[in-house]
Amino acid sequence: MKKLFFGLIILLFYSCEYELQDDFYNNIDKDVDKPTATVELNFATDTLYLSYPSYIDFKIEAGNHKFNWVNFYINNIKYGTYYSSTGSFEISPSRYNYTDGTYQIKIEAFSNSGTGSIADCVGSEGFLFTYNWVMVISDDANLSPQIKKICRDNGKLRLDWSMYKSTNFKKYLILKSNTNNDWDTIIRVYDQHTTSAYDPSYIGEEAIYAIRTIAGLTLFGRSLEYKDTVPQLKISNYGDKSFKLKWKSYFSNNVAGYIISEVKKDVYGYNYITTLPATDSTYIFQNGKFGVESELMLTTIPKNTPSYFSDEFNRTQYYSSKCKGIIGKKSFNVGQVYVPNGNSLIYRTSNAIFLYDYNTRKNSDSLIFSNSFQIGSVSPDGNYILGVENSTNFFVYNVSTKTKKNVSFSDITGSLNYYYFMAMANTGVAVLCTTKNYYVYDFVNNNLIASRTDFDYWALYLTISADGKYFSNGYNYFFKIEGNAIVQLPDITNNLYYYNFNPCNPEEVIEYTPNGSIQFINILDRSVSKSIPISCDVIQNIDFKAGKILGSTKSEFKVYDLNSGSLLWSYPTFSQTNFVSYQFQLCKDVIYWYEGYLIYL
Amino acid sequence: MKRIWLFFSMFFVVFGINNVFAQQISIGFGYGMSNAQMTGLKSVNRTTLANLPFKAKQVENFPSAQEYNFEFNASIFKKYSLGVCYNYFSTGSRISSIDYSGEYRFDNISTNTSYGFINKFSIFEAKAFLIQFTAAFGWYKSKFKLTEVLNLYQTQSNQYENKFESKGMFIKPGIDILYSFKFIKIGLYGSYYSNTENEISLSRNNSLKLVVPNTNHKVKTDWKGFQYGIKFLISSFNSKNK
Repeated sequence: MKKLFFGLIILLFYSCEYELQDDFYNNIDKDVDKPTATVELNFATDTLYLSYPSYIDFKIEAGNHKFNWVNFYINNIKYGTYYSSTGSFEISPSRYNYTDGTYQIKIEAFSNSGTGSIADCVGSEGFLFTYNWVMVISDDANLSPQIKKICRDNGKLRLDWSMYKSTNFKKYLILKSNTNNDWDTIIRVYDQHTTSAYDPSYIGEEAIYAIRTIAGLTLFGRSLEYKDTVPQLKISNYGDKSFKLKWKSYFSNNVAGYIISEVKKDVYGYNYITTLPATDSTYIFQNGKFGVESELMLTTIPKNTPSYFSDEFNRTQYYSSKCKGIIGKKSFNVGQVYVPNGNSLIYRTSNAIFLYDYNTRKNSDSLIFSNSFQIGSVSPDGNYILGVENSTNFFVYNVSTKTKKNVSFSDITGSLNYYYFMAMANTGVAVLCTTKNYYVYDFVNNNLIASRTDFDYWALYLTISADGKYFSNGYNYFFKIEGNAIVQLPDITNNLYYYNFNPCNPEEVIEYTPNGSIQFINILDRSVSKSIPISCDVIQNIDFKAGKILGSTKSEFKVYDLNSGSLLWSYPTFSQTNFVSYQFQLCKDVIYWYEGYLIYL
Repeated sequence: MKRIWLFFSMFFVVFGINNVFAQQISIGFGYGMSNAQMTGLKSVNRTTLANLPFKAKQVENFPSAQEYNFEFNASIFKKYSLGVCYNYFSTGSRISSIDYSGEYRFDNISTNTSYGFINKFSIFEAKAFLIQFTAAFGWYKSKFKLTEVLNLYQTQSNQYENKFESKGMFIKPGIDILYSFKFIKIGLYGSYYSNTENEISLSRNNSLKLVVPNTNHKVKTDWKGFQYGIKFLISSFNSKNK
């Protein structure tokens, strides 16, 4: 009885387990409207371009509604369900399961209802959103952006490329090279939708561009060459001693400045002249060298220099423009200029001889030729012009009477041997030379005065005294015409360079020592009437009327006073060898160059 | 099991001693209310509630609940008696949410069974009134039934039930105030229950412990609290020495 009692008690206790009774009833409005959703994809276009490895980042938002999962379909076949608590879903269709091509894809996104109910909060109640796209699976190479266009744009170089349409974009790199080997990254673009940029280093040079896209994989676009115009130097004469340099930059925004240099004539290299700011487009180059063609160079300095232009040589090669010019005012475009001691200088063109008046600086007379002709000599007073016409005749033009006379070669020597040298005196008497034969002929009276055929050497050149009684063959050998004989005078060489007879004194010759002196020497008694110190290599000519001597060195023209020998004027030039006499002629303070240019002292 | 055998062995020893030496034997029932701190389990509820994605409430959280006890003792000396005791207490908690879409409940039914020895010292006697100091100690065994239910639109139903248990020692000092009618005593009792805090293990796999979500702190039994109620004793056996 006792045990039964205890047992009942224990059973009673166990049956008294606590009972839970309360509950919480949450009153919720279940009538809510379907929200409007916005969708973001990690694709730059509405069509989804994929390559391996690649993925779709799908992000959907609808106010405060949460999207917990999406279903992904390819060609209406469910590929998978993806879960997220943030509304962002990463969908990775395996590239290996699909060949290159176009596919229909569908994404179903399920949002919560927003009521706050239990079902809503655990993702069992909500709204379904459905989206459809076209997906293109393609090889990496086909998805690689390419440079499409390179063009000038308002002082800059603009590059346009096709957009990278797939995923995982990091950046575009625009590369530049000049050789296709050494590439420099000049532009970095981190926005996938930005498909153009300006090359901050381009100033017109030849360049090769390529685009590289960093997007998980690195995609290489094809390279594209482009060449525009670096600022081109144009040169024009500015006055008689200066050049005006002009240029134009089509990429002025990228230019930091310009360097003007002069190309060296004798060795490779440049003489720096000046540096100019980017805003300049002209430069006056003063005191250029006369008597030589100058070559000037414009080097454009970019604001940004590509790394592959590591040295100045490279930069000069690609960024420079050269232009040649000649200092001086354009004058006679001829090869022969004679400056006699008269009132006019004489020059020739292809078919005419002109007399140019010193004072009026205008042509005062002309002699037109229908046949080929050559001026052989002009008398010291400028009255007679002797030359060869049609290779068979001499012609003599009397400037004062304006009459022309022709004398056949055969009338003088009995043959048509060509006369290589000739020299005309003020009297109309001339000395002529055919190889080793010398003839003295009076063209006024048509009379052969003398001849000599026993010389064993040719003349170097012929000069004749103003009175026609003495002549030289250029070797410091002087001859006197006595009756019908040609008599050689005693040698007066003295290691001097012969220049010419003194037009004011027929018995006097002018000789000089380079960088020494000019001497006026009597050819009969060897007396020196005048000695003038000079420091030049070559006597170009002597303007007796003005009393000035024009001399030259390899680097300078010098004008001396004929009486005092003082240096009156100098001007730079350049020649690797000495100029030849008469290449430049001084006349009334003007230096004429037989190439057809002049400068004023 | 060993402890149960030990308990009954001790009980019969005492019963035997009583038959030999005791002057009075009494059987008593107690019924009252009991508080329990349940610190760890309340922490589980707090964390669970905080983690729910929907609105819910802690509608019950281990409230004071009914407590039953039983004792059997014999007087050894005039003012001292010794016996065995048994105590049963059950409480619970619920997190609840019900709306048009479904219902959610997270229930925890906790029961605690204690058995051991009880010592009584008479500290005041006047006519029919008696005041006794009591001191019980022994073993306890707790059981916890955790049930999580989620029903949605009457189409989805998910129910997860796990049972846990824990064992340990307890001590319970108290005071009895009694009034005697012949061989019946009626009165009030009050005591403070304290136990050793032991880990709570999954019943089917003791190696798995109950932890607080998020923090992973192990939950321990915490029945500490006051108990009070009425007591009914029957002294049905007279002393042989009387």
